[in-house]
Amino acid sequence: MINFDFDYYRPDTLKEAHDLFVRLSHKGQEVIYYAGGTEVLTAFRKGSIKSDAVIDLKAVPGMTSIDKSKEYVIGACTSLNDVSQACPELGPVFDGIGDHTARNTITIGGNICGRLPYKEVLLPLLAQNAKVVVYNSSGLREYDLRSIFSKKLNLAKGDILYQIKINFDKLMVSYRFSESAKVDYPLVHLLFAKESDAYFVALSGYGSYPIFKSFDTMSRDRMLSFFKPYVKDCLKGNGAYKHALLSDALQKAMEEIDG
Amino acid sequence: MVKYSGYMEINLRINQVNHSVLVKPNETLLHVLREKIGYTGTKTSCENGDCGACTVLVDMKPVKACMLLAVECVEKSIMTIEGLNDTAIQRAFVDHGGFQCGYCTAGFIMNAYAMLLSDPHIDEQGKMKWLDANLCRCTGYEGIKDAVDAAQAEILGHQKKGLVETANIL
Repeated sequence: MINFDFDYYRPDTLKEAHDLFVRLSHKGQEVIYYAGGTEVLTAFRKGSIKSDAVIDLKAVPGMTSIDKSKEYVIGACTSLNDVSQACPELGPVFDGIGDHTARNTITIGGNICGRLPYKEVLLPLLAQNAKVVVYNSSGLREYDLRSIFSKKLNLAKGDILYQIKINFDKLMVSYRFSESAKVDYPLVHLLFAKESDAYFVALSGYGSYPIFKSFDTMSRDRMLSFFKPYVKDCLKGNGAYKHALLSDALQKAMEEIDG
Repeated sequence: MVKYSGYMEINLRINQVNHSVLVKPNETLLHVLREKIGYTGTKTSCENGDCGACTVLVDMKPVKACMLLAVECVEKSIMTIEGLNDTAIQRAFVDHGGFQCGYCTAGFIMNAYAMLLSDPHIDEQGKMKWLDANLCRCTGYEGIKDAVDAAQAEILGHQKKGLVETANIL
């Protein structure tokens, strides 16, 4: 049970959503954008966050659609299962997030912008240098994801993540380790990509937030040295164990990518 | 723009029947189904999206009713366990020992029903992927697996004979 009241809005356009957010915020209300709602409702139920209003973005045109003409253009409120079905390249990465039923509700944008530190959806997006389309008071703007990502997606309060644009022009493999064999958060989720002589490594679970780095040589020692300062102990596994998992995953990824 | 604030009447289409119900925005679909409309076949368990006991179908996709607000489900088609009637999956659960205490059963059946409707030829890995969303604390997984496999075999048998569309026999 959620033990506090809030208002629920479902706007029909981006402008309506953003203007509403600004208007309610100026009145002193705590306002949250709402996509799939899995993280929000869990936090509401636990009492870790409260809100006076939620703005459900799913009715905004383009928010739940996928266009595949020149590149994939994915609405931020598209469910992970719908994204996986349209973009088979993302299926193996998304398969570890929640469970199959939950992935009918969890959205790609919600996973990126939510409060949980894993944000595994970001791994292939960072590796493939995806772009994001953001709506704010200036209208729609497109950014390289890498340019506005540092620990999390750095958006101003009230900005709306609208679409993700991605091309899969880099070869990529992923390895995911968790404490349990079934549905669980990651201990280490590695995404390893290659384009010509450039190598791209994105990690989740290893540190406190997703980490991304590009390398010009395929040196496992160099990669491990770079990431080691970020490792974080957790109840599921200590830093040394996670580092060993990463080392193993990098070895397998390099072998798989280079045949 | 739609706005819900305080108690408001909404229409929910459940098992092909329209229900008019007074709800607040903070009420989950699970709570409204059970406490306001009386569809108690959908079970309350973890209320955290982990166990799958509250699985229902919304627009024919399995979702966890504890993780949806009722107000989100206006203009959607909702199916609960009460909406199934003598389907292959239900018969299989009875015939193959697919339940012990029965508390997880509705959730499993709804998920399996949607799975076999989506892809009656689904392989073992696919079945595991879908059904990992449901937990059974009685650990009656063998019976559940036997039931799902039997239902799939019946459906594929009917399809092979060219008798009916999957949805008509599920």
